[in-house]
Amino acid sequence: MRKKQQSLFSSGPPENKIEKEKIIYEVGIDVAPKPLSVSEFIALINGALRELEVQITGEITKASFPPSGHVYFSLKDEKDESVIDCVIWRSQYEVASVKLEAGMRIVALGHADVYPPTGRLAFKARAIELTGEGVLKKRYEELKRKLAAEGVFDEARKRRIPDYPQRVGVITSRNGAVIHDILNNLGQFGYKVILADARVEGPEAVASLRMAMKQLSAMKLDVLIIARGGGSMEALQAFDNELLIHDLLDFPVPVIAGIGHHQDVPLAALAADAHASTPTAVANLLNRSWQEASFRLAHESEKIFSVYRNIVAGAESAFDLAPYLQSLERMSKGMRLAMSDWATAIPKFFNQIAFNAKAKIDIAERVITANDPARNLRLGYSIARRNGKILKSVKGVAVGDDFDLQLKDGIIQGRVNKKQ
Amino acid sequence: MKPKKENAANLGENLKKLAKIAEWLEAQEQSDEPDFDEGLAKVREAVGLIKQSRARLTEVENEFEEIRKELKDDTKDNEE
Repeated sequence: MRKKQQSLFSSGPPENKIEKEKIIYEVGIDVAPKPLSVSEFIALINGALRELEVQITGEITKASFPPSGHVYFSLKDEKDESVIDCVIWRSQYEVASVKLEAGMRIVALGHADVYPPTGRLAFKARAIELTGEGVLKKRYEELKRKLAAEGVFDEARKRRIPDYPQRVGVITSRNGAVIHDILNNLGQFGYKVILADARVEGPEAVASLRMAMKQLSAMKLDVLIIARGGGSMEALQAFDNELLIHDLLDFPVPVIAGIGHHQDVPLAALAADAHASTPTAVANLLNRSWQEASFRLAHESEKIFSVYRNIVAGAESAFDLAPYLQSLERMSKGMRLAMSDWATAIPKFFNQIAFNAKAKIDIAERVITANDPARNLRLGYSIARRNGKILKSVKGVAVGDDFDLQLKDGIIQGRVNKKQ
Repeated sequence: MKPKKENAANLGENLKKLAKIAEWLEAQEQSDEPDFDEGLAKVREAVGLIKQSRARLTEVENEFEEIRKELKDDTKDNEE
């Protein structure tokens, strides 16, 4: 790019001529050896200048706002007072969400351009942002008050992060550490993470973030994460942009902001449905419902088996309940095996809970086995009944009463001769 | 291994059903005449739900994709 510019404005060896002709050819101008018209020359210059996109910084000396909505302003260099006229088209000025005023310091991204009707050179900015913590802080506070009055930060308005999210959109820089931190801290719950790369700092950041949101809004997601690492208010100013915040509010699924910050929480984070200041914390927010499910499952499993065991073991006519106990024993054994496998798979934090649940199921199984009347009959114990009710005390019969004695292979009928 | 979407969707429902079964059993525990047959049926149902839920909570590999960038310069030189 730079090479093209040099070849245009320097005379030199024959190879430069070839390069020049190539450029002329590229911009579609006749290469016939005749003088260029003024219009052709300006077109040639503008074609080359368009390729020279740069960021320039300076102080605004004047700004005008004609009805077209485009904004014309002059930027002055503080050191030697060099000045350049600038223009930013309405659509791009609106994205910046800044009211330009004389005295403000800004960074503008764009390229120079010669305006054919006047021959004047001006800088065409396609993105701008403010510099200087003081002015940024003032703008931050003003916008915060405005958005608060609109109810943007109200907790009642915020959407709940859904349980068991799977399809997760992430907007951040593909080159930053944030995406890696998020991926490294997500549990293995079958997430589908869809990254939309975006600039997260500099004059282009707002447009880039908004474009990424637009792209992801067309996809089927459960939740969106918008994230970047920490920085100064100046570095984070894209996240204090009113248009970006409204896009965030209108996004079809809940949004989690994971934006690092020092003192003032970025307004996008305050407006998001949930926010955390580190990528790890964002990943934990997503993991939470999955991990709670692990906990609840262990808890309910344990409760169901132990309560049913209590119901059966506590029943009066234990022998008749042998089939229930046997079924429960089989199921309990199956669950014990399942739990041993499970305990190795769920996140570390819940391992102990799973092991505890497994241990309790083991105990339940042992209690069930020990209480199984059929097993006790096989060991030589017997069950005495009178009129179908189990006899637990000699007080339950009188001398002369008939009773049944259940053994492992049959029933003996007898009569009470004596009580001791 | 691909995520099992249907199981993920069912996970919350399964946990609710398990909680209801546990609640029902606790009520039976307090009853003078517990319904053993129904209790056993509930426990059997719980075993199925637990196995299904456990399968979903077993490690499932995450997937990652980056969408194609379509950010274009919206500058319109003819806006002049």
